[in-house]
Amino acid sequence: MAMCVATGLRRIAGLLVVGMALAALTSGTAFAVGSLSPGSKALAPGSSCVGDPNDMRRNHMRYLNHDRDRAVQRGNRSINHSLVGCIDCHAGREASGTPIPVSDKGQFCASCHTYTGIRINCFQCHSQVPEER
Amino acid sequence: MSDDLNKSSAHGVDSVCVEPALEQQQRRAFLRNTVIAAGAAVVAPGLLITVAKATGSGDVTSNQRWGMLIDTDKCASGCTACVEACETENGIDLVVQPKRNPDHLWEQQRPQWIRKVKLQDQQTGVVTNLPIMCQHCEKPPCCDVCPTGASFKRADGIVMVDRHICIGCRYCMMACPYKARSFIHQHVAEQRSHAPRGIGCVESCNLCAHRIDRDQGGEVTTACQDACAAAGHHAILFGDLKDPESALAKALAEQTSRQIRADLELNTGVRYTNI
Amino acid sequence: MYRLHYRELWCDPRRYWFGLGAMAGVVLIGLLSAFYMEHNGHWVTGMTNHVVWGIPHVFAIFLIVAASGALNVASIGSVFGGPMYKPLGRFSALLAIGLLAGGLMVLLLDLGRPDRLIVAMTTYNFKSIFAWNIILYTGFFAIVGAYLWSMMDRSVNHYYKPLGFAAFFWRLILTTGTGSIFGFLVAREAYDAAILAPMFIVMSFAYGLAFFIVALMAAYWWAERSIGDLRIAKLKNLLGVFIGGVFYFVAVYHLTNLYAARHADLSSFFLVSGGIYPLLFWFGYLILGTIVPLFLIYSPAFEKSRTAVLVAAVGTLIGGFALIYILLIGGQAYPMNLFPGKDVLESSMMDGQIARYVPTFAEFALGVAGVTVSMMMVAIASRMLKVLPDTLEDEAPAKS
Repeated sequence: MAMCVATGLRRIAGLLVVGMALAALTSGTAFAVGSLSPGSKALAPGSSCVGDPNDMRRNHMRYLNHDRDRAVQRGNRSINHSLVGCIDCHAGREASGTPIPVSDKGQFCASCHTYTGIRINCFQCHSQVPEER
Repeated sequence: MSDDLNKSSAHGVDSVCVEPALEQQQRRAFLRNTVIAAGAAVVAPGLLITVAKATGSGDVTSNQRWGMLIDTDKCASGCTACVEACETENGIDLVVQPKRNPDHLWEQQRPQWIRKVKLQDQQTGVVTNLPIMCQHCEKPPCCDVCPTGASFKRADGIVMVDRHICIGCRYCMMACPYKARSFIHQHVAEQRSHAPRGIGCVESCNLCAHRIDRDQGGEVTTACQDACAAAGHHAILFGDLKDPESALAKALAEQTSRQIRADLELNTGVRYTNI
Repeated sequence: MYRLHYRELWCDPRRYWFGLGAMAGVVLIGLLSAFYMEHNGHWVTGMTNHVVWGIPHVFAIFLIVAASGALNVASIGSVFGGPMYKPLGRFSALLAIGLLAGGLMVLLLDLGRPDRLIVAMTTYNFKSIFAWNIILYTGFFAIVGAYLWSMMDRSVNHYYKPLGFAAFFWRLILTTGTGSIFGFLVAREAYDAAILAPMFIVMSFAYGLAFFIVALMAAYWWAERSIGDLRIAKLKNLLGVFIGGVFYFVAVYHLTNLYAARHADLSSFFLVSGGIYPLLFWFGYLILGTIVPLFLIYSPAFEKSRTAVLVAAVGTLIGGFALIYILLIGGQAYPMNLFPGKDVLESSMMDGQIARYVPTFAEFALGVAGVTVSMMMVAIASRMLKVLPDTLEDEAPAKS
């Protein structure tokens, strides 16, 4: 029970902070760059996300769920939001070029999800690094 | 474009199925095409089929049915090229035996999508070699019994598991007449990007669906077929059963083939000759 | 006739709490086992890609089958108007709910993905008998719950008859559904038999009643209340009839298999050559679960013996467990014949070979926990609700 309350409080706090961060973002700060993982393709000059970063931050799970059903059940790969695509672009890399799993501590997915206290289900089954072989 | 995005984010909170801008554009294009195609259909009925097939990037359709023909005469004894190729292609080799799991148990718990079987006729003593995998039935028992519908058949005839809604009850494994399915008994640390895999779900051969879906034109092959050909045997032929021009359909028209357990009347997509 | 007076099941607090504590311990071990299996994955169990359902499923099916049978006593009282059974109706409904809950718990905790329960409850494939069963089980809880309420609350007592009928028909459908889980598996020889559905119904009669007798006698011993000889005799005679009924179906099942050449191998596997399965059949099912109970029930030597009734009921339960084990595990261990007329020389998927299954402690503990949860629920509810009459003596007690 106490744990539930604590998680709830943390979630509310998390939402507040994310809300403030979003407010900061819309006012055009460089915060967005700070949340990207070093070494990821997303940092390359000229690269842009498949959607508006604000919107992606808030709704990426909906887009992913929606497109995954199309991809798996209808074999439709002309989707805009694929998890493989996310990972390909957002996986950070060591200086040596070795990709780092996206839900490792401090990496792209983990940085936000740890903060908001929401467990990621994707990586029990999906690869966390771009395909290399 | 940005207008659309704003709209979708505004509605995003209460609607799960947010239509991204690109999809809306596609839908408009599709509607336009449909009108044109419908008009064309009146003039030239053959044209519509060509149009439907050309949209390789959309939903799969029942205009196709993927299948296989396996010539057991060409399948070599002791050769496991198809099995190895399947394991690499679908990341099955990345599933590692848990440390404390004894070998004999692991042998029965590890996932297998395709296996080699050697048979001997009880009367004549003739020996036959063949691979068995999911037979991609037209009426799959696994899909009938699945409580959540995770086990399903795609429009193009591929039987597969949507592991997002599989609860791991294993009823499909009880129902499958071919022992084609495997349950993932342990945590899997590494996967290939196109072949997700995780603890507690059931899976089986999907005819290399990722290759079919990423089709950039040209002939689609499966990993096992490639490996069999590379080993010089050419025992596996993959293709579209519904396309009379496909090599598979032609080969099936030329010779008698049979289904394993034809008595169950499942109308399998995988056929065999010379058993 | 005397006025029935239902009272909460009071007994010596030390006895009550000790019993409850012991049961809670067993349940805890089972839950820890389930956690261990889920945490590591199913490789820590004896279940494989060949024997995909193991001991937990034997327990689950056994409990679910027994649950619908346990309701029979209530049905006899309300649907068939048996006055000797009517006072037992409340306890019968309670036991049915408890057994079903225990069975479902085991089934659920053995899923590969128990965390996706919400998916199982919200995504249905209506072609699947399994999905139908989820609805049947939920409905059973609701209907039997309402039935129990109508028995206990005078203000809704006028619904007692219709609810009794509804519960009776629902339990028949439910057991048919449970039996059909196997009936729909055309691929496997052991299950591809139409006789399985009615066989499951008779099995449910026998095992439900056996559970009922054991639970009732335990409850009355616990609370130091008394049961009349006539009532015990009625229950035990009914059990005898049901045991005979199960035997009839088992005999027909095997005789038809032996008659068809294609299935003869299967029955010889179950009855002679299959290692553990014939052993379980002859000693577990036939001797311990059929002959001994029938002898104890019908022999004049044991006419007045309460112990004999108890042993007969427990023997029936053990025999029933063995029978379901043979059917479920043996049916999977027996190879599917993909290539008639051919021998399989090599296969990595054990084609043509008999699969081995060695259950581990964790699986077994989970199953036992299921039974214990049922018993615990019944024990707690009987103490809190007025489900059991003060006395079950045959004649009116002397006014004191």
